[in-house]
Amino acid sequence: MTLQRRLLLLLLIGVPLIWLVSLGAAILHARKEINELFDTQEVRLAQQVMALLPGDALATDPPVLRGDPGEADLETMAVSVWIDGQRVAADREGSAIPYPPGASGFAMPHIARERWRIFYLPSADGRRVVAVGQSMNERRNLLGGLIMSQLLPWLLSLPVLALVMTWAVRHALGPVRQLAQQIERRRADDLSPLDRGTAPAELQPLVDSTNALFARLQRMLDNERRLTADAAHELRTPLAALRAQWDAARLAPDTTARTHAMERIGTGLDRLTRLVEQLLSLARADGAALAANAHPVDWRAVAEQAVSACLPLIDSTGSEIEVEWPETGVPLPLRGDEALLATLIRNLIDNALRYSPPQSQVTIRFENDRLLVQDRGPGIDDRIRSQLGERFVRSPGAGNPGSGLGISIVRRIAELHRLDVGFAARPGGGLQVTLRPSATS
Amino acid sequence: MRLLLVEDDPTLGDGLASGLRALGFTVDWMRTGADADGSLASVAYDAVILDLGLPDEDGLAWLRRWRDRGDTCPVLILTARDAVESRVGGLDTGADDYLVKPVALAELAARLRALMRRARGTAEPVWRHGALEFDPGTRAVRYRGQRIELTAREAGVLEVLLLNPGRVLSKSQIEEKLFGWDEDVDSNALEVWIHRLRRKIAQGVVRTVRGVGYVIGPAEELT
Repeated sequence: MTLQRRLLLLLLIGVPLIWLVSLGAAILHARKEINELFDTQEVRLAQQVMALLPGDALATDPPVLRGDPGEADLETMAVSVWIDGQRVAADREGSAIPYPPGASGFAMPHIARERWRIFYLPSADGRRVVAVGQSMNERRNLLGGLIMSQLLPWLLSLPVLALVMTWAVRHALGPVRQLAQQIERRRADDLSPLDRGTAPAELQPLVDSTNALFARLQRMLDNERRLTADAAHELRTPLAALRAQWDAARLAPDTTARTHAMERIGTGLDRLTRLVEQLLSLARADGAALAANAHPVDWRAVAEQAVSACLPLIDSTGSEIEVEWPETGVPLPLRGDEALLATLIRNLIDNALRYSPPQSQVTIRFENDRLLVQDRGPGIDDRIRSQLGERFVRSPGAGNPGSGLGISIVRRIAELHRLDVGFAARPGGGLQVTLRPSATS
Repeated sequence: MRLLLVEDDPTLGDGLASGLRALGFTVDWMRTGADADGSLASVAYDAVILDLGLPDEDGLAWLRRWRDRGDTCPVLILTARDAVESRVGGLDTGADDYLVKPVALAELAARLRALMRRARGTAEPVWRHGALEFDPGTRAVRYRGQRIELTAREAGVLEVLLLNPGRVLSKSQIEEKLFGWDEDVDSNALEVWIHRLRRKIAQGVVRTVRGVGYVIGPAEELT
């Protein structure tokens, strides 16, 4: 149910309901007041009549009122007087009041099928009795008139009230509708923030959190787009190389040239395969829902996985790899995704091997608070070091060129695990990569 | 025709160089902007194939530097940068053509030939000189309608001479167009090829100017 319909329903049912209850209370109160008023009048009148009674005689015919009666309804009160059980005086209605012997105080007999409220006032010696009465219809009419005077204007104004409420609700919910339209009209790729200015205070938190979501989505999209653009860009060169070598092989004037081109095609395919694998791991690390896969990391399993993956390259370069563990304590305690961390270490080993001379040694050193990967390669140029980790930046003149993605992957996975990556010259030559928990975490 | 290839990627550079050589071009392959500087300063290349992502310098900066110096050598940019702004930037900096990797060798060669054709100031795809016809695409030679079978080197010599009609070229000027940096030159080779050209086509096809060099024979005599 829409908010608007719910509000309208509550208002249109609730307001008349409350009004009816309060009307009921008003009626009860009015009836009590009316009864009290007329009862008092009856008593007063009876006392006055009693006081005015002469010793014996009383005119049977009441005096006729002449002149302006004002608002008075003179037929509402009936009076009757008895002396020694004989009705000696009564007005027109009063003649119908019965005389029950010994009556005193209020009674409510039926007279001509109407209920009456009659006050009997006997004198001290009991010889004279004055009765003042009034038909209950009179009182009910009065009450009815009062109710109608309240109810009628209200019933007449009810449709107007409903219209005004509907308009008010629609108007009040306008900003919600506008917000909904603003979101609805958006193109799928439009992630610009919603306009915060026009939204009322109640909607500000919603607008803010929606904008925050948009910002997160935008960052994710930008990341994906950049990756795609980078990938497209970076796939061109190996593809061009394959294409050129293929053309060279077709045009080769002799077998030697053809064999040479074929070998290069093989190299090019290896390189393309590795590039695609790296792009995939980067895409996975970029979109990784790390929190869901985070466990306390078993570094031994991670190292085993990483080194196994590098074995072909280790063998082909005749290099050695050594993993060192701390003598006491736990190596670099961390919660994280072991598969991603293995990818990280594999890329570091891979880089170390690619940039090191053949038959060199790469050391992976776990310490209690950090992880080191050391090689005896040429190290990193200062000029390049600042650009490291930007996708596809690679050291110049590398004989065994990487894609320039490895360090991006390392950086990305480290960032997901709140690890800082440092590159430094290793004493005695080579590069030392350090991973340690970042200071901010 | 002698080309300068500036490309840092080893597999791509190697493939382009061997492929273009197989198509009859003479190719010098340089991997850095600095090396390319040295080459372009010392040899009159017919065209340059330029990669933009060089390890020591941006290819566009390299090109701008040479254009600022007044170098008019045709330049074809071959790059992975495919954005429109990159293409516009490349052409506006002074490149004569812009190709995005990967590219078929045949297309690259055709574009190079088109560049050189325009550099010669002609739109004719087949070069005519009297009754002599030379197709730089297929490197086929016809004389008086007859197909003449030439080796790659012989065709190369003929091409160089046809590219400079009426101009006497020294032996070293011709050799410069025929041999890359890494090729050994036999000192008598050129004389041998010119001799064969005269024998296969006509005596008057190449004229020797004693003490200076060689020039293609006048068109009116090659009928």
